[in-house]
Amino acid sequence: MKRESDEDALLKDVFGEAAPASFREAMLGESLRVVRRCYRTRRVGRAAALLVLLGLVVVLSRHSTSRRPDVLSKAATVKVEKSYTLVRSQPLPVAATVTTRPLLSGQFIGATVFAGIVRTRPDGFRAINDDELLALLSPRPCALIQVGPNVEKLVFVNPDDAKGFPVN
Amino acid sequence: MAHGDDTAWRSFYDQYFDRLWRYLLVTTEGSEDLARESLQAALVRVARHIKVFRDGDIFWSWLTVLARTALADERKKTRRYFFFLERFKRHAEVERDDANDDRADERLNILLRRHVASLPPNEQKLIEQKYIGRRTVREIAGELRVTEKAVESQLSRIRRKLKDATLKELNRETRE
Repeated sequence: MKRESDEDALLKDVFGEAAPASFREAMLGESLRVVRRCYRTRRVGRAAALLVLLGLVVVLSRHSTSRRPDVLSKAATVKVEKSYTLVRSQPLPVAATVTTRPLLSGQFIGATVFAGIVRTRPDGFRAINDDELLALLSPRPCALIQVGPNVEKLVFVNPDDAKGFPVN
Repeated sequence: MAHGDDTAWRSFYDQYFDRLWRYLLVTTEGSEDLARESLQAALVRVARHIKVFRDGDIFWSWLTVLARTALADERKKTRRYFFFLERFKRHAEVERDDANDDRADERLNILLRRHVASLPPNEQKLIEQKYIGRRTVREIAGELRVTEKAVESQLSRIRRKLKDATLKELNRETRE
């Protein structure tokens, strides 16, 4: 038992018998069955995932194209609602409508001019001086106050006199 | 292997089946039943998770991790009572045994050498003729003047005796 290969041969023979060939063959068959099933499952899974992905892409693209106008109109509506309130009116029934009709020519009433026109003649008045004015207003208490060059203001002591009174 | 190629799997079994089996015999402390169950579970895991490895050492290391986790699961099955303890210990076990990946055969060889040395002289001589002298069964039978079948039968008995003694000692060593 000098060489390692001799030891290995003995080792394999001694412990190889503990695991019979039938067990080994059965395990090999089972391994192959499992690995092939896994391989098939993986392939099917990948194909299914690809199909699902493609389906999703198609559905999403259709969804986005059909929904786009709605989205825009919805956005516009929201904007309008914010700025004013829309009130919808309905036409009144014909019976509730009041209409006007033009009168016949015989039904017109004409207006008669009767008021006379009063005109002022340029030679019909005379300028009076301050004393004459004050005499004219006597006995009402009043005064003439100079408020500027050639400008005077007539002031009544009783405010009611300023509204007017019969002249003597 | 990942595609279920028959030849690839046969090649894998030729290279690693016996090695994994011996590794599990050492890891299970000589329990053949547990080693067989664990090997079966480990090989199913190999089939499920097989991938590309850079070299043989990394591949073997991966195989031993699968074997140890399969063994831990088998132990868990048989010892439900210690389920939580087992789960707690499992990671530590895998880590601890990692360094012994390549030592399983070495350990078995040491034990085997010891038991070959303790065989009766005639049996020891027969083993030496077969495994050191590399002589065929026919040559040995001719020399001993017995039939080939008798030599095969005797060799088989000696190997079984060596296996039992080695596994027994493996179990005893671990317990000590």
